Amino acid sequence: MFKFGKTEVKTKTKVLVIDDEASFTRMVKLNLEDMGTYEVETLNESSKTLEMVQTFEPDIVLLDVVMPEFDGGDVATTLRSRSATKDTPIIFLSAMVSQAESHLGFYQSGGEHFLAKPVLTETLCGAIQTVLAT
Amino acid sequence: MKFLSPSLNKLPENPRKLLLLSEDRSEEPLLRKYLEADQALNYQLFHYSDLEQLKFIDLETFCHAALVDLRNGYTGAQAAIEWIESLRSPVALICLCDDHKQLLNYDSVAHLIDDYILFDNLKQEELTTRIGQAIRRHGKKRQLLHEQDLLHSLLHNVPDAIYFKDRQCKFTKVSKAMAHDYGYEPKNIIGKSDFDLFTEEHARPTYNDEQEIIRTGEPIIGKLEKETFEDGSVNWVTSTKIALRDAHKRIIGTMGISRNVTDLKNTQDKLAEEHQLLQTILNNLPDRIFVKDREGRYILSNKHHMRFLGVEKEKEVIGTTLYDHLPKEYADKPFKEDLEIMRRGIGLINTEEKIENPDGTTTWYLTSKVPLLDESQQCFGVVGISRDVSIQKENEKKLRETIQVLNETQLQLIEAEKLKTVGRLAAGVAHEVKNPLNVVTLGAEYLENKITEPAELAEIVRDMKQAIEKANSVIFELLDYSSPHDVRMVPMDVNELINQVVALLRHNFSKAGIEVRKELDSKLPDIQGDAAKLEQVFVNLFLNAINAMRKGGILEIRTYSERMKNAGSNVSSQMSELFRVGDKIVIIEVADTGTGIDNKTAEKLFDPFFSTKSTGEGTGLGLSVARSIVDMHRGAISLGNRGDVKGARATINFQAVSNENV
Repeated sequence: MFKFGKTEVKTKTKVLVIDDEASFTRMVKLNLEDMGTYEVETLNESSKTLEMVQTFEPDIVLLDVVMPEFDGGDVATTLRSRSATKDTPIIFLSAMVSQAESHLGFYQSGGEHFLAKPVLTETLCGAIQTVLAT
Repeated sequence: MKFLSPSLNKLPENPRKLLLLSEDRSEEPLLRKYLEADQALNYQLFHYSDLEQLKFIDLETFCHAALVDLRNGYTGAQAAIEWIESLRSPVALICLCDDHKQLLNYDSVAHLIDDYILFDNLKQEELTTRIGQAIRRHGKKRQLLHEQDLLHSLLHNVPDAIYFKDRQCKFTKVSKAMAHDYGYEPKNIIGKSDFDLFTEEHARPTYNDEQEIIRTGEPIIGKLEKETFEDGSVNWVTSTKIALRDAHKRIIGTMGISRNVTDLKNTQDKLAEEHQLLQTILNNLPDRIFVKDREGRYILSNKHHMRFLGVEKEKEVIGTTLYDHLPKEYADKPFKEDLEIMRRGIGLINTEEKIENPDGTTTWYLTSKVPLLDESQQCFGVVGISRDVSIQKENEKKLRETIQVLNETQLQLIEAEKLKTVGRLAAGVAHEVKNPLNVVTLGAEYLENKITEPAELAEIVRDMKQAIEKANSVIFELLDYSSPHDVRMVPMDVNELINQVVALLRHNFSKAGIEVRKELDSKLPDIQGDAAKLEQVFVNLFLNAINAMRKGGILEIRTYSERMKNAGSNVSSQMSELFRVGDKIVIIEVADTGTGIDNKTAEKLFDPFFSTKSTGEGTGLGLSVARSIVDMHRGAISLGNRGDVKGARATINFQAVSNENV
């Protein structure tokens, strides 16, 4: 796995965004890439995750929880079952959070990282950096 | 004439009429001659020979004495004597004979004859004297007979027991009623004593009494005596006994009269019994009962009413009025009522009276008063009964309150059910809205970064972003409100939870320029609670505080515990319903230095969708959610203005897990 480090600041962080909502993934891509430090790939059909990770090899995956066909849980299980992707960090995106959780924006629950929708670019970046730093 | 009694010595004004019954009238001239010789005696003589003729005249008024001639074997003589005697009139009977032998022929009627006169050698003075004496003697005899009749009549007809006894207390004469009472004829009792008729128990004291009378001569008047017969039956008699004396005033026995008053006595006993029963009822009924006369003076009061008036003895109340016992302001109304009832003859039924007791408590009475009417429908008083209905009154009040609470609860339930539906709908919508909302958020962010010129466009994008944030916040609140209310209660430390929530919101506090001061009791007992739910409560309270302190301030959070005190003015009804006296209670106070709460909003604070924030800033569900969660924990939450400085204070009370570990 590719590690984010101070010596390689100029290398862009590769982020894969999986969400059935194309407009959402498009917006995330636009905003993150606008920061200049991210290379973002989007996927709206979660069934095609494996093909995508094989070609793209993301440093981190932003994964929507609620999706038709394969939901976030299925996708995470698949990724973690493959040696190539088992250590790739995943941040779940969920609309099913409480107000208390939402005030954290980014939080952990049951060992998993969560981001509450709606999410701001600033929060998104902070979360990516925090997860990659651990 | 000198030997005549003084009454006869006077010259009679009216003639003394004498009837001569004779067949041959041969003696008449002599008789007339003798009788009329002394004018002063004023005798008149009439002759009749036929008895039948006599039967048509009123003998009594016609003559004073009858002279029946027996000398010539007058055949009608015997019938005449019997007839005259049968009249029992005051007419004296005198027979004229030649000698004593003639009289013997009339032996069967001889005892009826008052005197006889031997016609041979008759002297004028002897004739008039004998006639006069005979008339007088006959009068006496009549009188005695009359008295004997009276006595006889008395003894035979009076229903009382009348008796005469000798010195040995043996009966010498008794009334028929008395003899019959004891199952005898009068003559069969003569010679018997009480010991023969009664038990020793009764006979002995009677005997002693009578011997005492014989010894002292002192009478016994109207003494009530009990007679117990051998068959066990009982009679009650009132006896009057006096000493019986002879002509020389020597006591020769006793006489007495006893009246059987068994019925009277039984009636009296029954009356006394009924009176006793009435008294028992009056005094044991829990009600106050009283009777007053036309002037409002008590003529009866039962114990409860006496206690009400503050007296112990009946004599302290009889004859008094209400004014003798109660202050004028209390006495006026009932007193006037009584007079009005008696004046109009119409009662007052079930009126409620409120009495303020000296100890500050209130007693309610249900009183009925009705006029007392005599046989002619004239009112002579008023009778009243008054029942203490304070408990019923209190129950009624409680019931009314309960019904009100029920009504409110029902409304709340309906409201809650509505909200639940709305909430579920909102939650669904919220989830669906979040994704597109996020797209707009991110889009706006992107545009914000791209568009800096012209300034109007940048401004528009910023407005859009802010609008999205508000929409976002509303959706979260709706989600929280509609989140399922399942609670998992475990013992938990409230202090720890508060620290977590404060940490959670630290950015919000610092952004608003709010200083958080915590004063958390390190020995605070655990409470039974659901941390996730309670977290919500504190988040909502803190967010409200932040909202109230837009320009910065101080948020004070204090926890402590104490025992539930006696119900008093400073303990709300909610508190006394939830906690028992002595319960250990964990108290959390959250105070801000914000704008405080005005009176108008105070009532609605916990209502769903009530908000002081302007539209778009909040759903108004925050406090409503907080309270429903506190309710789930069987706790109490209240909001008010703090007294020391301007600002609001929320106070939450929970029951500590165990009373022993504190």
